[in-house]
Order: sequence, then C-alpha cells, then structure tokens
Amino acid sequence: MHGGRPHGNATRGFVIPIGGAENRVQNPVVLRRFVKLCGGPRAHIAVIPTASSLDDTGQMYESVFGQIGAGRISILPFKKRSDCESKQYLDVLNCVDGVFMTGGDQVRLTELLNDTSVARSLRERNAHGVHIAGTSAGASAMSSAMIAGGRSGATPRAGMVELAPGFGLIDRFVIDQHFSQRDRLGRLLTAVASIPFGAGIGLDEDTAAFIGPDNTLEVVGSGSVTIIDGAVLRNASGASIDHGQAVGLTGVQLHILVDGNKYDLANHTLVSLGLGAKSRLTHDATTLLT
Amino acid sequence: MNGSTASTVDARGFIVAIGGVLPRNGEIVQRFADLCGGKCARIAVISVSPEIDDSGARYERAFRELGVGRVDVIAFENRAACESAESATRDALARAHGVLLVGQDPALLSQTFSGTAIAQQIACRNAEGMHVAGACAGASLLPRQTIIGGAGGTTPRADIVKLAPGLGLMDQLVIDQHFRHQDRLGRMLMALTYTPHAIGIGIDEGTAAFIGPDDVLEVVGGGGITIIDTSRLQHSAIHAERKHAPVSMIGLHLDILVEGSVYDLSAHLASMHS
Repeated sequence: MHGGRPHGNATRGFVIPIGGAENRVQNPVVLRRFVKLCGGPRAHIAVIPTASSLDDTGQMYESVFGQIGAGRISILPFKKRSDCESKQYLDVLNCVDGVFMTGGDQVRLTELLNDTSVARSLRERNAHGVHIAGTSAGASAMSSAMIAGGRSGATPRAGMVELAPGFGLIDRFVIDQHFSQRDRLGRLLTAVASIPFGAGIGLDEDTAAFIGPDNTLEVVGSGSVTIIDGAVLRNASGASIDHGQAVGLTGVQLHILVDGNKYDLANHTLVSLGLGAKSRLTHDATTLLT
Repeated sequence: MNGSTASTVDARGFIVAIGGVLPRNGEIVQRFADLCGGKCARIAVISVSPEIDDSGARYERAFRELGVGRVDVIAFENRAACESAESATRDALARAHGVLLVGQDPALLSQTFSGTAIAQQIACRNAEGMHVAGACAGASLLPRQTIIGGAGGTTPRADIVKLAPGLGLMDQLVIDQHFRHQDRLGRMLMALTYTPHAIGIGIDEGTAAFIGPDDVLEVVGGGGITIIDTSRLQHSAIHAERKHAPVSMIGLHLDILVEGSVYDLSAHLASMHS
C-alpha cells in the first residue's frame, strides 16, 4: 500500500501529519518510517523550515534525516514569497521523493507559500507519488481549512478557533497537533462544527498519521490520534451563538487510535489493529453492541 | 419534566450533578430549591468535617437566602460517624425533600460515605422520591463508580484515572466535573473502559445535570455538558503490560449539550428541550 515510487505513476503519495515534538534521536519511529517510505538510502528529501523562526531548524532536520539514513537532503529555505517562484527550488521539488515541513507558525508558513508555484508543485508532486510530511505547524498547514489559532479547553465555544486557508493536501479533514498535551479538543470540535461534512484529526506529540493513497490512516508513534467524525453532527442549540458561549453539538463520533491501528477515512471504519509486537498485547475489552 | 416534588408513589427523586463551586451556581441552587418545594422545602446539606471543607456552610447560606423552609447542615467526621448517626440525623434525612452533598475532595468523600448506613439511607430515600444533588466532588460521588483522581490530557492511558466506590444512585454513569478547565477527557474515557456501556457525563463549572425519574437529563447553567456514549464502541484495547501506553477506543459517541438541551440516558439520544 506504500505508494509507487516511479514518477508518472497515478498513485498519490502519502500525506503524513505529525503532532509535533517527534522523537529525533533515541527512538525516532515516526521519522524513520517516513525515510523508509521515501526509499531509505535512495531517498531524496526536501526540508521546508519556513514555519520556524529559528535559523538552524533546516540544518537540524538535515542532520537528523542523515543519521536515520536518508540518501540526500535538500533544505528549501523560503523566506519571502518570491523565493517560492524560484526555478532552482522548483527543480529540487521535481526530483525529491519526500517533503518534510517543520514546526513553527502555520500562519507564517501558509502566508509565504499559499498560491505560489511551490504550493502548486507540492499538491501536484503529492498527486504523483511524492510523500509529504509535516510536524506541528507543518501538520496544521496540510488541510484545506487550517486551524490558525485558538484557545484550549474541552468544551467548544463560539470563536475559540480561527481558521485560515491551508495547502489543501487533505480536503475533508481539519488537523490539530500537540493534541492531548495542550487540551485542544474544544477548538477542534468548534472547527469541525463549522465545516459541513467535515472531520477532525487530533495528533498527540510524537505521533503521526500515515494517510495512504487508499485513504487509510495508520498511526505510528507513542501517543494517540483522535478522529472526530462530524458527518452527522449538528448544532444542538439550534440557534445562533454569541462569541465565547458554549456550543452544543450532538452526534459527534469519536475514535482514539494508537500505534498500529489502521482506519479507513472514507468509510469511517477500523481496518485493522496492526500486527506489530505491541499489538500482540492488545485484547478486545469490549465487543460491538450495536 | 421539571416537576415539583415527585408526587407519584415510587417515582425516584431527581439526581442533580453540579459542576464547580457556589458563586457561579446561583441559578442552579435556585432550581434545586424550587424542585424540593421552595419555601416549604426541607433540605439537608451533607458534608465532611467543616474544618476540612467549609462548602456546606456556604450552600446553607445560599438556601436560606432563597427562603428555603428548613435547612439542616450535617457534617460527618468519618465513616464511623456515617455508620452510627444519631437518630436526629437519620430523622432529618428521613424527612428531607432534598439532600445536597458537598465537598472538594472526591477521595475523602468516597472514604467517608460510600457503602455506609447513611449512603444506604440516601439511596433508599432517593428511590422513594427525595431529590439528591451533589456539588463539585459530591457530583462525582453520585454514581456507583467515582473518579477520585488522575492526570490531565485528552488521550486515555491505563494509569490516567483512579476510581473508587460512589453512592450508587445510578449504575451506568460516570460523572466528572471541572471538565472544561482541567482537561479531563482522557481520564473520563479511561474510566469508561473500566465500566463498559456506561455513559460519561463531563460537567463544566457553573453547570448542572438535572436527571429526572424518567432518566432524561436536562442541562442548567452557563457552561456545557459533555456526554460520552460507549454503547456503540466497536473496540477498546488496553496494553496490559504498558501502564502509560495510550488506549484505542473506536466508535465513541459524543454530544456536547448546553442549557436548553436534554439527553435521554435510556435511549442514548440528545435533543432540544421541548
């Protein structure tokens, strides 16, 4: 199910949002999996550090990916919108196997890249098999409707989330990161509620969702991935709501997935629990009642 | 459904879970006082030792200011006091239209009350029609299982929640409070995996769940109530050998209700108040 390598193949590449703070040294399961997916020692990976305000973020990931065993790493240090029209950088994107977007500020990332040749190239290259990963802000920026900011808390409140356009690598899902660590259920619920037929993916730190071309999501990492399915969701208060007021929502489906779990995003069903060593410890605590 | 005191024989009294502390709960206290009969009501406020926790006195004052006919404050020092209560105390409970259990520390409340003669009397009187409310930690104590502690975070992990026995007024219910402010989804979900098919009720501060004898829950107050329904859970797995590992749960149903909405606990159905 790992998308085909040859260019020109119609199989789209993986989209891999990561919840931030991924392990980079001792046990970098998420990054190692990404490098392996891209071809391991043959992989050419582009790093986009634009979200970060630190100057050495690109170099840091260059060295991390090097240690993990990626064949070649190119840093694409977009600092202004005109950089995103540069032929030199677009040529790099045309020959990479994977792209990695770092954390930082998703608004900075999308303000610089949206509607540029680079943003178009990212979508086209992904459609043709290039895998795109993003951590923290880089994960948020992947969805069409991007969470630009908001407040923490479990109860959705009107105005607690700000949405802005993202890259559109993932259409029907809103991504949120540092999920369990920063108490972001309320803002993701508010975001999902404002997008008809939408759904939300909340990623814990050191945890990634590997979304394949068949729209199967596989969890990799030490935390969990929370799926909020808003397909049958409705505003329970049935009235307009003032800013800051609690929002009533009914019919939300919630799934908590852990390492090895595979979930079909199109049909909203669990595909498998995974066959890894950890999953052998798993047992069914509860059976389907229906 | 906001009927005054239950008049029909055998209708159980309301069970009222109040999130958070008093100053924000004026509307809720008023509602409970009215439910118990207002000026004619006899309400018993039950607490642990007032030296440890003075919330009993504050609720007493609130009920008096609302003109409640008679307010008794009964403090129990420990379990022994609950087992050998004076006849005057038992008499006050026998005649009360409503009881409010207050407290800040759910572990202390569970140690003091759960399984005692006083807890049994409260449960019997509730079955006969007396209304029972719990505020703050007292709210958590109302069902059979009580969450007495745990860590924050939205992801359920095996070691994230501590459970203890509650009053047992309702079986298939887990109640947690301070829900919005203290990031308690994970520990609620974990409690639910230990109590299959129970419904989880997370109550924000300044908000209450009024659960009628028909098992319909009504939201009162300014915050939200998060209802987590595990009855359609397709899968839940605990890594037996990894206490801090996250736990997967597939097929949870979530409703977030605000004032004006109701939830039918038997039918697992949320709707607008009609």
